[in-house]
Amino acid sequence: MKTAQKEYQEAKEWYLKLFQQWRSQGQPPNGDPLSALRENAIKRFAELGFPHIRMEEWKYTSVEPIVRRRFSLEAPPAQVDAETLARFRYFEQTSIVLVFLNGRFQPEWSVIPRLPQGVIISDLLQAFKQHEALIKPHFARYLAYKDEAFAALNTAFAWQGIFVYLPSNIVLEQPIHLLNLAHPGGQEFAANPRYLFVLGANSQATILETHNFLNDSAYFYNQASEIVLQDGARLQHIKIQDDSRQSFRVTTTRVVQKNNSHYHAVSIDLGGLLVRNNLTVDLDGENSESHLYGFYLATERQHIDNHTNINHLKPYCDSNEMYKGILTDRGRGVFSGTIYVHRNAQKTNAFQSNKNLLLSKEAEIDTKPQLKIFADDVKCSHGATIGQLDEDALFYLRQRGIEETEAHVMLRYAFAADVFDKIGLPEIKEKLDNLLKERLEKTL
Amino acid sequence: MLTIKNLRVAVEGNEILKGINLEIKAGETHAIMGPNGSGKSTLANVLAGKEGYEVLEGEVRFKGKNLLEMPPEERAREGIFLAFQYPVEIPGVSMATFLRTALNAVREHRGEPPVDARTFLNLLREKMQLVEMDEKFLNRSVNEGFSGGEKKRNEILQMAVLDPSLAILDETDSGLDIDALRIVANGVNQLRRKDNAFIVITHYQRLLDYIVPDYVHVLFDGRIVESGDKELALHLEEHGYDWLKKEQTSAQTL
Ligand SMILES: Nc1ncnc2c1ncn2[C@@H]1O[C@H](COP(=O)(O)OP(=O)(O)OP(=O)(O)O)[C@@H](O)[C@H]1O
Ligand SMILES: [Mg+2]
Repeated sequence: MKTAQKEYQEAKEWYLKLFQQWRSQGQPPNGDPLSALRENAIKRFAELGFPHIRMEEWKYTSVEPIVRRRFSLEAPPAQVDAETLARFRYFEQTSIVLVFLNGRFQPEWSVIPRLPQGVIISDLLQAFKQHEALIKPHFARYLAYKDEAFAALNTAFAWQGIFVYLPSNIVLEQPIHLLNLAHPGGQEFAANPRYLFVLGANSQATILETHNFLNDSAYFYNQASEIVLQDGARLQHIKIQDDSRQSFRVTTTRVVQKNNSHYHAVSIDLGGLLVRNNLTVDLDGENSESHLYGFYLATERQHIDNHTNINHLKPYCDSNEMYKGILTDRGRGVFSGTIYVHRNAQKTNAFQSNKNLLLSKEAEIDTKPQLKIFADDVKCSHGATIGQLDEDALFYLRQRGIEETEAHVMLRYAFAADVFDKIGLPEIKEKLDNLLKERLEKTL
Repeated sequence: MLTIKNLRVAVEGNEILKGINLEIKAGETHAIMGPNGSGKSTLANVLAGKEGYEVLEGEVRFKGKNLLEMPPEERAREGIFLAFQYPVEIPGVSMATFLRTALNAVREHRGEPPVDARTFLNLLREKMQLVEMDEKFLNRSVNEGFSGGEKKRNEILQMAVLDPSLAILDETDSGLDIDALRIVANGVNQLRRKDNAFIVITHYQRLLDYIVPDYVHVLFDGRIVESGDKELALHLEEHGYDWLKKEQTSAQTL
């Protein structure tokens, strides 16, 4: 048996070696605008190594399953057809669809209709060539890649990704759908998708991220996103993650909000064997608002961890957070929500709740709300609950003739609907409803 | 319709029902009265199939079938309806979805096709008028945030929609103001037919002025100690249960 320490060391060396190889092959191709950044990031990764459970932020989530594997950087070449893709489309009508296969952007399958003047939706590295002045001030400015190993790793390898830019006062009516499909074909690969969304003053957009798979096998997505909302900008950001039950996913998202901006996120996690979401929001402008909702369903041996940090840095901001989870079989959930209120952030309103339904004896949830408040004139509250299904409600439904299994699904659905109802996209409600019901039926 | 023979039931090891005998025929309304804790709700729950009750002895036949063997939903589909003493709030389940699912389950059991949205809505509107409930309740979650009286009216609404053959009303009158009491009683009376029956559990003669029972039973310490017609309820109203207690103790000492 190798010691864990040795495993971690070897895993680190694996990625350092991959990096050297990748670079010596002249990757990424066609000239690299990010050379210096990559070198910095990989250096930081070498210093940090993978996080371990003795670290407070990783106490409940061991990344050992990721550490033990040797993912390759080369995703297998994947083929799809229009029919297959259609199954994963959410919007019937004209929407912007950006297709990613095994983490790689597929321009030929993507649909980018005529965009309003000044709007940019571009491949990441392309954007450095064509829109350097717009991307450079933001890229890698917010993500804490110097302190977080996964963010560092992503930054070192970032070349597949998307840059979205909205100039001031543009309301993008069509949602942007980032359609991710994993098609591993037996080969265990790692992808490091990187997103940067910059919304100019008073602009508005909706982004839907979906994550699905075609073959049930192991792969590892180490995704990182930076989101900038300038004064008065509004973003609705929905994520539906339904990856393979053998896959691994670490998502690191940093949102920076300026005055009067509005961020509304709904994060749904249904798939994955080991999932860790790090979501950090800086309310760095007065009168800004952040609404974070999440739902996770962990069955079998799934492990789903949501770490959120809301930083109230300026006065008069509101944050509102509600995460709900259903844990069954040997499913395990982790919720850690930190609300930090800077001493200048007077008149802050911050609410947080985390509710969990534990449906089996082996299922587990660790929930850790934390308030760090350094201002005196604030309203903050948080609460966490862990419960079983309400037996009286179950009996009530059955007494009216409703089948026991159906009654169970109704109650679980009702529990989850609180979060699903926050998805402000009526045109995809039915599809999501069906997805949720189908999943809940499987938990019986 | 319903025959209960020597039913003994324990909860967590304590015998609560100590030999109940009761026969209810189609077309009849039976009132059950009795002091707090005498076992009225226990009887209702056992008939509806709630878990946590241990049947020690006895038999319950409903329309010729062994009721105690059926899961609660099957009892409901066979026609047993319990208007709960304390209706449960079910956040997230809308009244409309709930009622339609229940109705279609019951209809399927009766060999009837499911109702379409339009027919359902019409039926619901009609029944809501019966209990004078506003349509806006349809979009609300079941019982969530309903006032005490609204919850009770909601029970009667559900009864009207599902049209059971045996309805058990467990203190549906408690917590109702005088108008609501009349509304609820009216609702019940309009549903009374030759082919259905009611068990009305109550503490107050007042309700029985509106819903006139064919029989009145007094449940005392897990037994039916007195049965009679509606005059019995009037007698109880006037004299309370003390005289029964005395009768019981003297009967036991004899
Ligand atoms: N789950 C339980 N555990 C222990 N005792 C119980 C339980 N349920 C009922 N009992 C007891 O059984 C007895 C009968 O209760 P029940 O609710 O049937 O009375 P009731 O006649 O309906 O009274 P009320 O008029 O107050 O509604 C009471 O003493 C009660 O405490
Ligand atoms: Mg009672």
